[in-house]
Amino acid sequence: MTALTLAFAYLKRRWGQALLSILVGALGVAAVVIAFTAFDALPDAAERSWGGVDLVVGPKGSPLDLVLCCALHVSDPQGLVSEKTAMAAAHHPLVRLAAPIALGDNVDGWRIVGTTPAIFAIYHADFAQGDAWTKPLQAVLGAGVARALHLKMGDRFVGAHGLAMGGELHSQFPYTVTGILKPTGTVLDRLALCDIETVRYIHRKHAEDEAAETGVAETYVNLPDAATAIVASYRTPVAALLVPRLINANPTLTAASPSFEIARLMGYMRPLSYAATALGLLLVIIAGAGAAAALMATMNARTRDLALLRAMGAGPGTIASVAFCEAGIMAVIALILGGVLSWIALVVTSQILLDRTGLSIDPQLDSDTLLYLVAGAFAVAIIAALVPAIRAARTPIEELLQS
Amino acid sequence: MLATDDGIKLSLEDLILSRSGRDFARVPNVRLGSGQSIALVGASGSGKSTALMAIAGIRPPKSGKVTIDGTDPWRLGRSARDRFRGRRIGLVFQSFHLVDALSTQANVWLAAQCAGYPVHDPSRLTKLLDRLGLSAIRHRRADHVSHGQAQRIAVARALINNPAVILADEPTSALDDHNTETLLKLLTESAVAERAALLIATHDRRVLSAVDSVVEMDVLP
Repeated sequence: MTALTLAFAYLKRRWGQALLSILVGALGVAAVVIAFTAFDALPDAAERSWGGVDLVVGPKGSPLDLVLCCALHVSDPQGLVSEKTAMAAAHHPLVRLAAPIALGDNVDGWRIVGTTPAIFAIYHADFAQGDAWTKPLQAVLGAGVARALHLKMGDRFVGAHGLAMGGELHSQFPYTVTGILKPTGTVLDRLALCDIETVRYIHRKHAEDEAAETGVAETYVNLPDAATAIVASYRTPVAALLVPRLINANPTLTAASPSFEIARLMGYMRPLSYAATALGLLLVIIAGAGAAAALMATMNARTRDLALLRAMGAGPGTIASVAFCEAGIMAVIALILGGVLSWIALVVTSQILLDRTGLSIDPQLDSDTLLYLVAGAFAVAIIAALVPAIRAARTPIEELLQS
Repeated sequence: MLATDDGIKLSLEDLILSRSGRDFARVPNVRLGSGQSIALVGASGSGKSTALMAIAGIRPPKSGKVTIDGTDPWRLGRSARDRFRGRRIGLVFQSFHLVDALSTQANVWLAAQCAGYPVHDPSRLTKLLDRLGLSAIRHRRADHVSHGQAQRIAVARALINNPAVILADEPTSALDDHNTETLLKLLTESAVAERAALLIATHDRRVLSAVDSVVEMDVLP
């Protein structure tokens, strides 16, 4: 009680100095929390986003690019494949469903994806209103797109060329909304879906117009069944061992597994996570060293006070505990502040990530990590207070009567 | 200086003090009862502060016996002696030594906490602050009180645990006549009110008329 009262009073007295140590410590705690939670939350967010897609088949190239473009819809396509060739390659008894996708247009930055109704089953999507398209230039909207663009059943919208906002409008080809999906928590929420032939027709017309102007024919003109990729779901996880290998034997196709590619990507990012954790730990240690130096200086300045406590009957343990209490209070405040800072950072980051990529992260700090963090912070506090505490406990009372 | 054995609060017998292994001073024998006061006088360096340390159980005497309310502190173990000092001896220092970071009442109550009285007794604290005229500044931090108020806080702190003995070390050396008179009155009246013995180590001659008796340090050749 004595030690805690004094520790609070002393901290209040030198709040500026204490605040600095607390801030550095809190930043360290926040860095460690963010590194741990973000690293675990990102793969989970990606997995939620690709939903029931087990396999992506696209043109020969990087499987990671294929997953980022056609499963997570965060990057641009690397080329086109023949739907017939890709569907034939994906036709296997272990493959439950497959659907082609054709990218190339957007509505206010939301991707328009030409596909077949099989895609609804792959993503386990249900209709909130309406139904799938039955004619060209009819569209089904993901829940997020409908909400963001305030589009209702029967509304019309015009797509723009390219995957980013600002492309040339295909004004002569307006879409009509025939269905709106229930939220799925997957990337489908952020897509506007239509018949693949519609996308092909619009792009064929666009390519013909371009060719007439430049004399160069685009792929859509030369490849009538062009698709960006095929997305498929397996009947059984065993398919992951067999099907991609068979498809990759085709010299024009690449088969990519989203879970494998994202695990590989996170493997590349692991050093970054280690670096962030190390930086956080370094900040915690710097805070501890700062607190130790400050405590040492203040203990020296408080020799008279500490001798007074001894003279009034306080044992060396009580005197030492003043230093431990001060360091402990700073550790508790740094932990709380670090927790708040990391929470704010994660909320802001997850919103930015959601806006830019559609990945919805749900950061959770597991109890083991939390325990290590609290234990670590208190260990640093105890080490920081150790030398000042020993010095304080050895304060001679004689000084008081001789001063 | 003499009191009946029943009421003896402080007894010093044949106390010899040493410094660097050499005997350098002898403290006259003293027997003080409740409410009695004595001045221990001597020139600077005569061993007055060392004598207080021996009486308070801080630095052992070379020989002799200290008895406070029937207990010899030097027969107790270290932590028991610390606890005994906190509970049975009230200390008043030359420059009062208040803890600046704490309020008036926290400074006073600190003595109780250091002595291991875990239960807060607000009535005792309130009565003491009232009696010493400190109620109005009980929440004021110690570095914001006047010199006279600091004196009274130091006395209140020495009295809070209802001590058997109050030891004051040169309490008037930096004070003018008016403040000296005020402080001595406060100390002697408090000793009577709290039924404690009061020993003032001083070289200040103004103290002599305020106490019941005077003894002088005997510096050994």
